Amino acid sequence: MLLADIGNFALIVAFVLAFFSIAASLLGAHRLDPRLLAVGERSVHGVTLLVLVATLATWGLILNDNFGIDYVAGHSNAAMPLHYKIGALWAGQDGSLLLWTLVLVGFASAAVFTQRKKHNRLMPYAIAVMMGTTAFFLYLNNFRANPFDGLMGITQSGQEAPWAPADGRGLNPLLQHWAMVIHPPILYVGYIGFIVPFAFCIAALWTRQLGSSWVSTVRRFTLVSWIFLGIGILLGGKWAYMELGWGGYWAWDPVENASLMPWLTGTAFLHSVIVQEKRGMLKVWNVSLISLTYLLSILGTFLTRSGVVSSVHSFAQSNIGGDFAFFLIASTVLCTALIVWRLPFLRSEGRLDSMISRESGFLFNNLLLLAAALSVLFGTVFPIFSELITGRNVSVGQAYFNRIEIPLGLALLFLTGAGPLLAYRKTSKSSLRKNFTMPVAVAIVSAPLFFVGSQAMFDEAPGVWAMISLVLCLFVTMTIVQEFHKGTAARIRKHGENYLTAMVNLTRRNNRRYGGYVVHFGIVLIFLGITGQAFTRETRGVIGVGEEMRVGQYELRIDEITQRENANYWSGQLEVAVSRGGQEVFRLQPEKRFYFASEQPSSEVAIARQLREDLYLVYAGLNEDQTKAVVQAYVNPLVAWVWIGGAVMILGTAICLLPALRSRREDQATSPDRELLEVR
Amino acid sequence: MEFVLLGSALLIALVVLWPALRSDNDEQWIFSEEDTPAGRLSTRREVLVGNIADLDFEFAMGKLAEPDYLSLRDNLKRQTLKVMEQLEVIESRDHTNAPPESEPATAPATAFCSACGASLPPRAAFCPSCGSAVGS
Amino acid sequence: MQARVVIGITVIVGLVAYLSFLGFEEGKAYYLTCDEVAERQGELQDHRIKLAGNVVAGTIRQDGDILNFDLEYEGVRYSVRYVGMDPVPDTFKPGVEAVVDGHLGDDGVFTGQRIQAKCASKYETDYESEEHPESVSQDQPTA
Repeated sequence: MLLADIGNFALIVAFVLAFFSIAASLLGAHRLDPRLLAVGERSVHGVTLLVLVATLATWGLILNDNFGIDYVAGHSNAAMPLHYKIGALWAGQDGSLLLWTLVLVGFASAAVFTQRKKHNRLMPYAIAVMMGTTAFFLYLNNFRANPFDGLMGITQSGQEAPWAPADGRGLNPLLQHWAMVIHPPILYVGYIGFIVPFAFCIAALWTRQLGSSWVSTVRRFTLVSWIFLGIGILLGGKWAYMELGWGGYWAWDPVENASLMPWLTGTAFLHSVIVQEKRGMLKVWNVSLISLTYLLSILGTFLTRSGVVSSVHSFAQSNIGGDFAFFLIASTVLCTALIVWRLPFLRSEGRLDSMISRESGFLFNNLLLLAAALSVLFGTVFPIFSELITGRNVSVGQAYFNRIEIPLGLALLFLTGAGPLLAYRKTSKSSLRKNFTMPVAVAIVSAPLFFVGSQAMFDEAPGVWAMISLVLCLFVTMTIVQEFHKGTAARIRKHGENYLTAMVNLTRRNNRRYGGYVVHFGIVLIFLGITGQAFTRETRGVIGVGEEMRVGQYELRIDEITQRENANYWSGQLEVAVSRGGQEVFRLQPEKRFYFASEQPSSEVAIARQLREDLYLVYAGLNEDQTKAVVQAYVNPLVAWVWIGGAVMILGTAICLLPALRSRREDQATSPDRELLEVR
Repeated sequence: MEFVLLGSALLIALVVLWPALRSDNDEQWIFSEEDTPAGRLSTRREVLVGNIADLDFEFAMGKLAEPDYLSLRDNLKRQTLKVMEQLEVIESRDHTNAPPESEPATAPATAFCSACGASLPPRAAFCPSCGSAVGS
Repeated sequence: MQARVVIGITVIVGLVAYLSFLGFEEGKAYYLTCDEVAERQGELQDHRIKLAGNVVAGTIRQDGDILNFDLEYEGVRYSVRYVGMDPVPDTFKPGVEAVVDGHLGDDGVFTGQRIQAKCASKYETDYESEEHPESVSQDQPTA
């Protein structure tokens, strides 16, 4: 077990070095000694190197089929393909906690490296926060969930002895899917990345440097974490849609909610800091939002692993629930105390002049997103408290979530369109007229068209919420189109470029603004996709070869019922011919598999994807006398737009992350107030 | 094996401690802009200039009606000039670099009059500089 | 201005509270294991319950559209009829922990509209070394 020894050694040294880095950094801050700070910074990199070694050691053990290690035997087997063996690192608790630590220290090193020479003042405390959290996770990695523990067997005389079985248990077939392999790392980058802005926030609070420098410093980290978390959430939904066979992608399950809550507060933070940068307002909001985001990430991990809320995702009652609870409570208390203590330094530099202003738009944005996050939180943890208080475990049900989050979501969608049209300070009536007329007019005119269109496409008129959603989607799209057009037109007037060049240059010169608009458009597409759920059709049929069933506007006919078998699994397959209006349009092959090793059945859903709707078929098995197939068929309108929206969001975020072009100065130099621009 | 591990640990310790062990390291502690009043004012000036640029951009785009644009721009410009005045006062007063405060002793007065841009003392109801009511 | 912000906040909070209440009443369900249901049998007739227990091997029977099986926990067993539209999840098989959402009938049979089975865990309990005692032949552990 050479690798296991190396791994264990690396973990314990990392644990010690984490504490050392805190000590060196804080001592350096106390003495204003840059050398000590440099020692602290190097220690951070040292911890990262050691955790990387431990991770590589774990991978080495997995790839070498070292089944004497408990973790390897539990989550891998010899025949598993390479990419799943790599994914086996995060398939189980010990390994996924190690991955968590790796991502955490990776971010810490990146933060230390990119901010060196810029922030001696904040850096020691930011290091203390990041390494303090790292120390907690390394404590778990070393002493509570060590991936290098050997497997123990029981000998015939009843004693425990190390044992290496011939083969491991392998990865659950439900998890053998590409989305499931990349979902945890992406989600972790999202969850954990927020610790960088959080650490600098705490540092700013401690040192009372509460202007915007801590905010603008960590902007890139915030954006990257935010998009990774969002994509992680969408990937989880996509996997559920493709693998689990219930036709949907979101069930307000506690584990799903755990990832959504920090995303909501993270979104609020991302927007709210703009106001702090431009007008020095909403400072208390910003420190609270980032702290809340970080705490919700830890809570999310706690909920997911501790088994304290019943969920289909929950892992076996794990032994580290108590550790997390303690860490969470301690962190919450410390954050709250620090913020309250520093309130005098967090006063606003400006005032809210009008309720119809960009600032108030951002304020409402914060309120709505916070309300959404807190209502999801309440619904998710309610069973725990109801059990503690009344002795009965009451779960709130999906209706609770849908009733609250749909209206909140639509209000936020409205703000997404209206916010950018408002002016800072105060928007006059004439400005309002200028900006709102076109989008509102188009949206109102479109309502009857949506009515007719959905009848034609989905055989159903939209309900109230669906209609509001469709109208708002169009409204927001029109505001974005208007913004791009007006900006391009202004550029053409000034620089005489052609339309396309002007638009590209406009976006590059103002990449934060226009990248943001692209992200907003992605959100609109996601809302469009979600609205399609209002028109879902579902049918179950028991049909034999040559027989037909109807779902929505499709006729399904079974052409063949077959089965086959290989070393890994047995599979029953259907050949289904799909027609619409008498014309054959698809052929689909839904499958039902039974994996021998794990005795695990699995449905391989067949999906015909179109922009308009998905046709989704599940082969549920044969009927009692084995002559006919039981088929579950769904028509899911517009669901493809959810995934497309996600891709658009990535594009928009990438635009936001582009380095800012210097030419702001060249544009400024032509403005009439040169005296204002003389740089000292 | 143990020697290899121990050796690696020592090597890491050496690399980590190197900055403290070097005798020729005379780097200075880098203070940030927010540590000096001049730094804070300079930051504020940049923010205000940025706000003017944003305003010009949005007007050029046709998002603002002209009277709104002119009055907002005028306001911002006055605030910027005020900040620059204060900057000049500070910089002419101490030519030597006064040691930066390692921490602001009291909460800095961070509110500014929305009419003339002067700093407002905490909980002030009227601006000491131009007399306009705060929050109007 | 402050007053207007406060009003705005109150309106939002009020609306959210109202919607929570509506949604809660509509969707709430007690989560109870079989033995807990047995204890409170009298008072649960009209309540929506999420019944949790382990699927008993040998009791799974498909009658047309209805899936019948027994759930057991801490010695208490209930007969369950799953009548919902959604297909039975792949993780559903003898021995797993399942949760059925529905009502307890007067006849003591639980009728469920929705069914979930525990995601066969990523995070398994400790490897069952007892399963293969014959493989461990030595008394002395080797280094």
